[in-house]
Amino acid sequence: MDVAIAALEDLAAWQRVIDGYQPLFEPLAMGAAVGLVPRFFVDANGTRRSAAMPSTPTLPMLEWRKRDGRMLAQPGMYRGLDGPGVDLLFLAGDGALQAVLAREEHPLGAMKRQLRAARIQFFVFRTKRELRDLGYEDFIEALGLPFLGACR
Amino acid sequence: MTQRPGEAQLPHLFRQGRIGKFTTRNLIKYGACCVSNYNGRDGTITPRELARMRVIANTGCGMITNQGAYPDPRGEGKAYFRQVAIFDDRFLPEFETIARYIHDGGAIAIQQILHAGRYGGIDLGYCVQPSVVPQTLPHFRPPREMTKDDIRQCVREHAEAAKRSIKAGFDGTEVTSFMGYLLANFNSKFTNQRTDEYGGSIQDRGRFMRELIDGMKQATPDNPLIIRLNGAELMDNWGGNDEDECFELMQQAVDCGVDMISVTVGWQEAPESSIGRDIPPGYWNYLAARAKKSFPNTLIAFGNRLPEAAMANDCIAKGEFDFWEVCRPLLADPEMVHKVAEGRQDEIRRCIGSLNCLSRLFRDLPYTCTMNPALGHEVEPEYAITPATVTKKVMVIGAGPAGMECAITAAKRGHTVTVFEKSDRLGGSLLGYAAHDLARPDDLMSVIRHYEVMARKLGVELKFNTEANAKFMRSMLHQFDACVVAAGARVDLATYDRLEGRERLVDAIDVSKGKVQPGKRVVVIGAGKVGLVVAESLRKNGAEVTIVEEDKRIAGDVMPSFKWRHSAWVEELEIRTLTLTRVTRVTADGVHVANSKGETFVAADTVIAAGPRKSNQELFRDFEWMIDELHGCGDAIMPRGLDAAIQEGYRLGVRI
Repeated sequence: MDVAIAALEDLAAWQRVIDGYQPLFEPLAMGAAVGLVPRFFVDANGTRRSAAMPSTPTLPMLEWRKRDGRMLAQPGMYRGLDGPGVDLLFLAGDGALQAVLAREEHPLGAMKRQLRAARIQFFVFRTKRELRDLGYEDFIEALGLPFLGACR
Repeated sequence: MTQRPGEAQLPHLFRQGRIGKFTTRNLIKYGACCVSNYNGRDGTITPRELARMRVIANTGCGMITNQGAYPDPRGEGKAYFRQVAIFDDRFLPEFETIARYIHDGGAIAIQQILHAGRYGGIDLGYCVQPSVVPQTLPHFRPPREMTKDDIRQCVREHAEAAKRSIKAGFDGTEVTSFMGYLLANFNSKFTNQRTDEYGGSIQDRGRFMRELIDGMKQATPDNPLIIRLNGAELMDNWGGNDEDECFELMQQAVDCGVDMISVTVGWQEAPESSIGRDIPPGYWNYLAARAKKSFPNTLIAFGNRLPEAAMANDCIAKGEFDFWEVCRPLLADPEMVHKVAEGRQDEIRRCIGSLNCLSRLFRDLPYTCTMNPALGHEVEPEYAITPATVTKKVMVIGAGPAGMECAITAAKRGHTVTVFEKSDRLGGSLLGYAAHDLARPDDLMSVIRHYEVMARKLGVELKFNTEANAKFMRSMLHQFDACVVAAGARVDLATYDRLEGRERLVDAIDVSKGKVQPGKRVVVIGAGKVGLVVAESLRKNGAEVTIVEEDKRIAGDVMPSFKWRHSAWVEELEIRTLTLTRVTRVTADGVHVANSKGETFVAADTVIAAGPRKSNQELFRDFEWMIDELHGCGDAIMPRGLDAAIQEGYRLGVRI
């Protein structure tokens, strides 16, 4: 867990990832934000709990937020699914974030692979129309996520 | 009744079955097949739907399940734009008609009750679930947690819907958890995080299902109840149930006395495939076999990725399941069961798993089928194949899917048809796709085999190695009444006229057809479906491949359900992809490219042009004053793909 949090807190590394894809984020509205948190954690009682619970103790969250005309990596706090304060949330399993950061060329490709292997989980907090209006279509498709949903 | 030749070949599939007090003429169950989206926004059944169901009723299945109807007046269970409703007696007359059609067709009639739960509430802006777990697919609505009162009301509505189904004349009902609907939401620990008696342990998560079964059985004690349950959710990596838990839940259903379990696979939001053509036929059979072994006294139905009757017959013979549940193959060819029974398997139009049907549903459109252009148009006489009033001599230029579809349709109507093809075989561009398709080339090849068989049986004359041009047409003057130009499309190499080194480019279509053998280090210009299919295939065969695409996204012209597949293949095969990048120069050693980061060089021994395609339309001008009727269809009109080719070829064939 500590390793995962350390990976989240390396803002400079994440900014390099984001900067490689600024054209993807160009359509995003100001304030649009994506969150990344570790998927599992151990609570004070030693119980391993899913981050997909409505509320959790506060955890560090990495935010990618559109500000001043570009996407920026910045620290945030995650308190659970009830009000994460982001439009999309990625819950990263063990080693998933490190795998993304370790990829020098096309790190979003590594993220896509982690999503496909379910090592990164994904939640949306906006409707399809809201996401379109916020400019997320390119980003979602770049990650290989079916925007419309489909039996597969 | 006399046994038909195919029935003798597949004796297990064609033997009589029994469910409750009802006897079925064979062991084929038409699955509810999602929903058609042909109906009214208010849940009423339309003439379009009735016409389709009349066709389905005559498929020859022993048991036919009518598509899922939502049971609640609020519409929380409604998943699809034009899904049918069954929460009120005012809907009864059309259900009565459908039940009558099914009985007239010789099958027993089952009505599915579908409350979509997490995927429901399409008109409401919210959905209901056991717990508030956000969506993973943006298509669906934000969740609300069901109270205990809501749960009790939901059970009552299911029971009333079941009673109403029987009142309409159906013989039994079915409740479904497939593919992540409300029942699945309660069963799964991914979406059920309740802390009351409806959540927590698997016994408590299954409580809603048990109450649902009890309620429906009490409402319709003399009629069978079928339940569709996941053998695998494919959501276990997301915190959902594993396979053992799925089978524990089946045990609970068995203990409650369900008459049949239909074993299904996957949720809509599962990160892996379950029914696409990248899954080999038979892949999931082990789940049905496990169910049958675990619950020998309960009927088991199964059909996920089991598209062929012979395979189903073998599975039944081995005791892996009791009923073959089939849906999409019967959308592709409603005559399939009759063709099998009559020993005419070679005439079957196979479902090729393009998922056109589901792609359209998720755009709130009525479903259609790549292989069956008449699907959804049964109510329109214009789509029916009827004898031609005036029989004509028809020439078709091009033996690709558009030309062949037109040719066999016209031949069925009594026209005399000759197809002229410049290559030495049938298939057109589809041959190239099939040769390089990573999903399942045999599905695409089955389209070509179908045309070969039907051309032979219908007496369509095929003239290969014949290039159609003005000179050729002059030699044919007055021999034909109508000409159909179905000459396909080509890569528009003129796009690259100003590119330095253009003469070094290789045409992607030539590569796909094996006319050109690329080297081991390849650059593909263009990430549309032609470029992607070629790139993926070359990479899989060991070449180092880079794709260069001017747009910011790849797969721009790929249908929705295959976009993510290409995206995944490109990633898994580690194909380097340069988007928002253009080629500035081609040399003997590779290509120079430019993007926002500047200019760079990509080494290559072969540079493949897979950019925009251009229709082969020249023949329209050449032939304009040489023939009475001149028509066109498929990519020759505008470059698109297989679906448009078949649809247009058919529509022209029924009209010409």
